[in-house]
Amino acid sequence: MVSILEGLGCEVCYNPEQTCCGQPAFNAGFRNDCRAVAEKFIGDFNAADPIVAPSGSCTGFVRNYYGQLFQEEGPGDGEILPIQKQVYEFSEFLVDVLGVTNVGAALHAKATYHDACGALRECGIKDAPRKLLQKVLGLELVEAADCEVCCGFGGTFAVKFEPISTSMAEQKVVNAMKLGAEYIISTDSSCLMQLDAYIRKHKCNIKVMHIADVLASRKGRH
Amino acid sequence: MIAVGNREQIFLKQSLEKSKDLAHRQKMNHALKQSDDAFEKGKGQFSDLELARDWANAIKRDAIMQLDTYLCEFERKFTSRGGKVIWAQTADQAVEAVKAICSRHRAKTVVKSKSMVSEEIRLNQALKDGGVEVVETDLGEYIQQLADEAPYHIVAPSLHKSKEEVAQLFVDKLGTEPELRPDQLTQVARKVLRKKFREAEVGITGVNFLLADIGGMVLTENEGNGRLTTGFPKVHIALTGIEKILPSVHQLSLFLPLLATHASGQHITVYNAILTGPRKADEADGPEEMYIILLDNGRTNILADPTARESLYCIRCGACLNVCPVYKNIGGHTYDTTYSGPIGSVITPHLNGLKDNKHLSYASSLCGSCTEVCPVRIPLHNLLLYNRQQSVAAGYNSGMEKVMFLTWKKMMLNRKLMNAGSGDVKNWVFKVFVSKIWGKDRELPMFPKKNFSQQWKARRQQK
Amino acid sequence: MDTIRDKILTDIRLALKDGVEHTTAKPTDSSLLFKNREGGLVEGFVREFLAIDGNVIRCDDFQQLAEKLTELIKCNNWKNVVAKSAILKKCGEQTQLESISTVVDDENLGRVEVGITDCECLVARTGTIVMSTAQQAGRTFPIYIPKHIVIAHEKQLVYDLGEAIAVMEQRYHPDYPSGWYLVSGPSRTGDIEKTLVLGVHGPVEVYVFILK
Repeated sequence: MVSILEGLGCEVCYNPEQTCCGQPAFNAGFRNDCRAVAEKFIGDFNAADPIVAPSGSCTGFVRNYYGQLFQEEGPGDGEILPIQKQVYEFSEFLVDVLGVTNVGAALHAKATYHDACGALRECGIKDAPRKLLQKVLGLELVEAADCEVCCGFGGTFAVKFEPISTSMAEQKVVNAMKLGAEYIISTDSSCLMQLDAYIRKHKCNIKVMHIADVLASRKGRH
Repeated sequence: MIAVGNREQIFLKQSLEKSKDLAHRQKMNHALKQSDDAFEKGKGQFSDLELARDWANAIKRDAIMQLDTYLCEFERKFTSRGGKVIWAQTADQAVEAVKAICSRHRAKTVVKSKSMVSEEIRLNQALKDGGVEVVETDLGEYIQQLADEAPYHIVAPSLHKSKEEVAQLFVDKLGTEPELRPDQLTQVARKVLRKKFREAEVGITGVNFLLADIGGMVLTENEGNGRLTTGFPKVHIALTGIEKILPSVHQLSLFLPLLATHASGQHITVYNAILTGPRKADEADGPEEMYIILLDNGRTNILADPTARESLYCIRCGACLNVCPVYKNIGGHTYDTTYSGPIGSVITPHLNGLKDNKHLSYASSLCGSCTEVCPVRIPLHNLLLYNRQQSVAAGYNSGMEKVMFLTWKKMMLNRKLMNAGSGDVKNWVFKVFVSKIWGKDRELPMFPKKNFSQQWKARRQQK
Repeated sequence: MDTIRDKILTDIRLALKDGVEHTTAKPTDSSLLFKNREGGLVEGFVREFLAIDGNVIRCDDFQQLAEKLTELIKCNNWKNVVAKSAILKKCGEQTQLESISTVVDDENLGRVEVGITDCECLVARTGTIVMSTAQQAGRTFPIYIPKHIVIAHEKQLVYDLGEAIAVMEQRYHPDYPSGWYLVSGPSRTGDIEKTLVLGVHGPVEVYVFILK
């Protein structure tokens, strides 16, 4: 992600003290634990510049939930709102902010794109990743009928309700393989990790790839 | 229902069974794909579905925020035309009221059209125990009754049964020829039930909407059994939650198409009956007595919670069930509640207690499809989150989970802690502590040797 | 002592004491939310009603009504036809229409093959027939009969549900009929493996004769 942004002329800063947006605790109902970590997040970033994340889930959480999270205590709107306005998921930043769809990537493969729930429903991201992938040289993008269906990760859901979670992952992987896809691509590592966990266990003939890695790929026809 | 205290364990066991049941998976996928396709087509009648949902939300908000006013207006107008209103705080009171009416009319047979409230108060068993024959007349409910099962879905009670299974059920319970087709099975049911409509002394229905301004109720259906149930028997009893109120009959021009689209992809459901009272003196036929039983049964608890209150806007369309990946995988019975799917998981803790039902709010990946599809814009997945927060605040979560997040918090507040331990160490920790709960069907996620921060540092040093 | 009603109303008022919530949405005319189709009311109704497995037969006058109705009955070999229709009665007085029975007792209700009724109005956008218990057909007849014929005048057509409800209000307020019925096609179900079956409890066929 960094190399792509720098390749497009951006100056990329990274605060090595950053840790987490806090979402895992929030989703499990542990608001107070979440708030403490989210407060640190606000302090870790400078609202003067865009904050880009390789995750629709984190982006959506900061944008849509920080308001209610800090309702009773913590940083006020004056601190939160500027951060919320500046946080972007990687593909939406490239397309909607930088106005770029072709980053000069090349990947000779057939792939299908998985709409991560956080990206799709919290951030409204649907077209940006597809526009970028369509410009990847040699990439044949096929649309899965269940592209918008959840992968089954959902944070602690993945361990608390493991059979349901695994069943959801299984169907995503099987459907992608039926399309002949070699890769499942997404904006969110949590989804990819979930699907990959199933793939490796069952030795399926398909791989996962984060969209940033696809866009950084220069593997054309060899 | 299953004994209190064991519900989460049984839920886990049943969801494991259902998740692995490939035949069930195929049936659910098939059925819900049909719902999906129909929905896409039905939506086409709207020029602005999003605005329609906004308006529906606003109308229900007004209705709920003035619930007492509208209920009183409804009662006043309905009773002025000879209708009778019975208020019931508890399920028992509602059941007793129905039993008293049936007893007064010496009812031997009751015909019923679909009513989720009747499931909620366990009416059928109570009537049966009192020696009254209860006949479900909605085809899906009739099938479930023959099978001695609860409904599988709010709108499509026998969604999970293949046509072969239904044919076999009819052989077993009705002695029909084997391998009948759906249209033949339907004719069998039609014949049996036609007699029952005319024999029954009492007809019991649910209510889709209560109308305040004209003092009436709406009954929405595709089959016609609701109309027969409210046509032939001398007595009509309608069961409803207090939240079903709409301020005005005019709002049906929005709500009927909205309900039909989200429930079954139709522009409008085949039969919508607006009933304003028992038969009038100059009318050809109809029930001589009409009762509407207004049920609280915990709804005022939900009403008292400003966050949870929105869940009372529900018009019971079932769309959230249709789009829920969890529902699709585990089916309706696994929930072991009257109302299943996302709306069921949201309201059951408030109606039946959080402690025994919190697991339902956790059994969700929070994908948000339910919120996305809800015609009255109930923020369903946010309400699941809200239930989770309530659960934590009440101390219902396990000690282990509390410790886990306390540890997580400590790590996330201190980058040094987060950096401690190489990728290999982290992988080992995961193997020891996480592999069991991660399950046998997935490999554990792998940590890279260097985390991003370390890679960044290395990259900068190279420059 | 407080009745159950009092208790519930008290609980409701207590629950809502934190005040009124506001939304920005201001619902107005719901017909704005639906796609407008091209063409007139009759064309619209025909299109929609056919799409939901109904049948429409248009007639210029009573003479045509008599002819086409007779043809339909003969074609299908319907023997037991009962009519509860004021329009059809008028038609019978002005044409050579063969007399159709207008009464049926309880015992013979189950033998009726086809029932003919009037309606309050027709809704073009959704293909809906509006009937009520203020009409002679009553509650059970129109839903019990296996085949249903409705006779209507073109002037009874309105575009959307909102107008139909307004018509009923104007016609009957405050002395409403005990039952208003919106009928949109034949009875149907998908309860057995989502297989469409028509004619579950209500009529399996519905015909609307529209008179100019």
